[in-house]
Amino acid sequence: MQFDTRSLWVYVYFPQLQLDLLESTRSEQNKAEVPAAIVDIKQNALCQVNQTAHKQGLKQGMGLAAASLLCSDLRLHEYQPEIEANEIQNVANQLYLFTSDIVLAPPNALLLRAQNMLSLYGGLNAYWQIIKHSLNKQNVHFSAASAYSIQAAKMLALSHCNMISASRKKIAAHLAKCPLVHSDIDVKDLAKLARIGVSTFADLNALPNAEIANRVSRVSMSVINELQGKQASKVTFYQPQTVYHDYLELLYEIHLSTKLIPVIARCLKKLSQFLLLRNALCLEIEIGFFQREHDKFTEIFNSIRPIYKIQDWLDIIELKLESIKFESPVYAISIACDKYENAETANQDMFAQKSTHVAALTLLARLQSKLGKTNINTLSFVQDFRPEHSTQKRVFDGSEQCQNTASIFADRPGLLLPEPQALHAEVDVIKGPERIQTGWWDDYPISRDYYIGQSSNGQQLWIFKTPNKEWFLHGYFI
Amino acid sequence: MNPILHDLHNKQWVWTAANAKQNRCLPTLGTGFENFDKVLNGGFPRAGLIHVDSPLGCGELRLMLSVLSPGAALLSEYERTQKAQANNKLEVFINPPFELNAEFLLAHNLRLEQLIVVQTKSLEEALWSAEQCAKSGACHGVFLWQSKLQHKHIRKLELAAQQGGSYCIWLQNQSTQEANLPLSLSLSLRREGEKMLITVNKQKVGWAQKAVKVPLPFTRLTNRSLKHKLGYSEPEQSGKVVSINAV
Repeated sequence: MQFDTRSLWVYVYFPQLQLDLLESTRSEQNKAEVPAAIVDIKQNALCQVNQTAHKQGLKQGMGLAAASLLCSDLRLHEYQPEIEANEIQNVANQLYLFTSDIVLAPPNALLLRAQNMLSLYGGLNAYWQIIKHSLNKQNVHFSAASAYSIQAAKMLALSHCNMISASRKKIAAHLAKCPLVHSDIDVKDLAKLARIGVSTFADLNALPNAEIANRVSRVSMSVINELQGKQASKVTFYQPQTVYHDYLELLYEIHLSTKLIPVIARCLKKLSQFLLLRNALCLEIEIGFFQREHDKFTEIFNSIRPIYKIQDWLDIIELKLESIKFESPVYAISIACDKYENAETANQDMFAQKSTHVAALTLLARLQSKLGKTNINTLSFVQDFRPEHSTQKRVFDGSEQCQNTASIFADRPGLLLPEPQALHAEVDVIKGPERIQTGWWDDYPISRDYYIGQSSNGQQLWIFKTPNKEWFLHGYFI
Repeated sequence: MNPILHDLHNKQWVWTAANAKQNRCLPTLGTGFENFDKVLNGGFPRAGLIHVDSPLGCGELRLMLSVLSPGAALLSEYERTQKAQANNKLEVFINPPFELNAEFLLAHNLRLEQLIVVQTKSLEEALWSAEQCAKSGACHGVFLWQSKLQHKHIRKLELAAQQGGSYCIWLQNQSTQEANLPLSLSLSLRREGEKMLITVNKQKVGWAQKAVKVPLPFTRLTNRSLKHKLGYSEPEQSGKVVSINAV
């Protein structure tokens, strides 16, 4: 999409996004300050250093050997741009609540088009306060700058010139001092420009454009044009994702499933926010446990009732995790929720049924997650004369599809044996016979004369006689 | 007060006459059998664990359902509201010894979509599910088949049932249980010919009583209001009552 050169842009740069993410995983109780750093394997140098480590003298760009000499208990993590790219999505997600036009610049930056938000918030200052508040709440370090072109805003932010201003004069003054290294100009072209003594934006402006164009490539030239506000850059705006997916690397490996609960709770918090914003509820979430020495283990958690609250999900997950044993320690978890449904908005009578219904579905979800789905059944009645066929078990799935057909026969026992057994006890017949001869059309024909009998100890039995005069016990009148 | 007595009192192991008056004001659920109600001082408690000890298949579930099932004939105002509420609550059957027969349950006016059958692998799971169901407030009756329960399990279930305002019915088929359990009501059932002999082993308030006999047919008692002192009988239903006595 192309934009005029009069829009005000804000470039927000996150210098240590991966580290911020790791630090926030640390639970509330475990606030002990541990020096931690992210290391770029390719360059064998630290690229992100936390405050505790910084106090001990560690700096960005320091080699691994020097770092370990300075600080023996340093916790190192490998730099992974994918993690940052994923996290920048989350940040954008949060900012999307306050501002409309966001451009992602993965792995660690994003752009806000402030121009069209100014009249809504009543000025850049108020707008920036709100954005800043939202970013602070997410516990991320950031530096930001505003300018009238994307390239200029980027150059300002990367050169740590934290200036949010709408005044063209101020911006131009700061921009003049910025080194060109932070712009998108090609490295080779930068070297060429350096050779003719052009290293800052002011130097660049001093030369006529035609002169520069002779020296640099076309791509670099368009960057320079953008910097000077002569050309608009092409960008695509961020659209919030429609499915939820989150990946979280743990601070340390966890073997016990109970220890995972607080971490999962943290992830669920994000999920519940995601759902709450969309006024949605979900029935199913998928949690993947990445195991150190074994394949990723994926478990699907179901709820009968659509829910979004953390606690409701935790109840279900906790119960199911009890029965899960990890083969090797878990180093990361992922949470995915592909399908969700809109919450009903209909007003319901507070006192009618509702509360019991919700309680019932919560109870069933709990039972199912602990005992397994197949052990929670409901019965339905099929009109068949054969007693073993008239009752059908099915897994409870929350739907109410069974129709209550009234039974035809009154004298039926409460318990039926799965298979009729030969009758051994002595029984007085107190009622009967009742002949059931049916099923000649399928594979289970029966021909029986049923009686109700009572044994000497008071048991009332449902017994039948076959045409061969054999007696069988088929049920108990409980 | 004597410290030992005080201690016992705190544990609610001592029954005092003052208590009796208080408790008697509590609404009870009439059973529909006049003599049985008398023994129970009015009827079943409002909620709690009820222990039923009987041989398998002498009508233990029929007796309980005739009292508790939502479709049972209405007696008092309290029972009416109680049963209206029960209408959309669940009935849970935990570990029935054999397959439950839907036809029988329908004949006892249970709604199948509100009926859950739970199968568990161990005693712990059975107790856990019974407790969860009883205290959830979503269940009306929880029927648990279990041969033996420990003192602490019984206490847990009793509290859960009280908390959830539900009936937890523990059906036991061979009596091996010691007396004096912390539950609301304990009954022993025996069949004598056509009638059921009910002995109240324990109830929370009231004196020991003699066993009572009630008739219990194979089908549900459809109109118990006949037996009630205010009883009014609808003519078209009285025919069914006659058929009951014929059993």
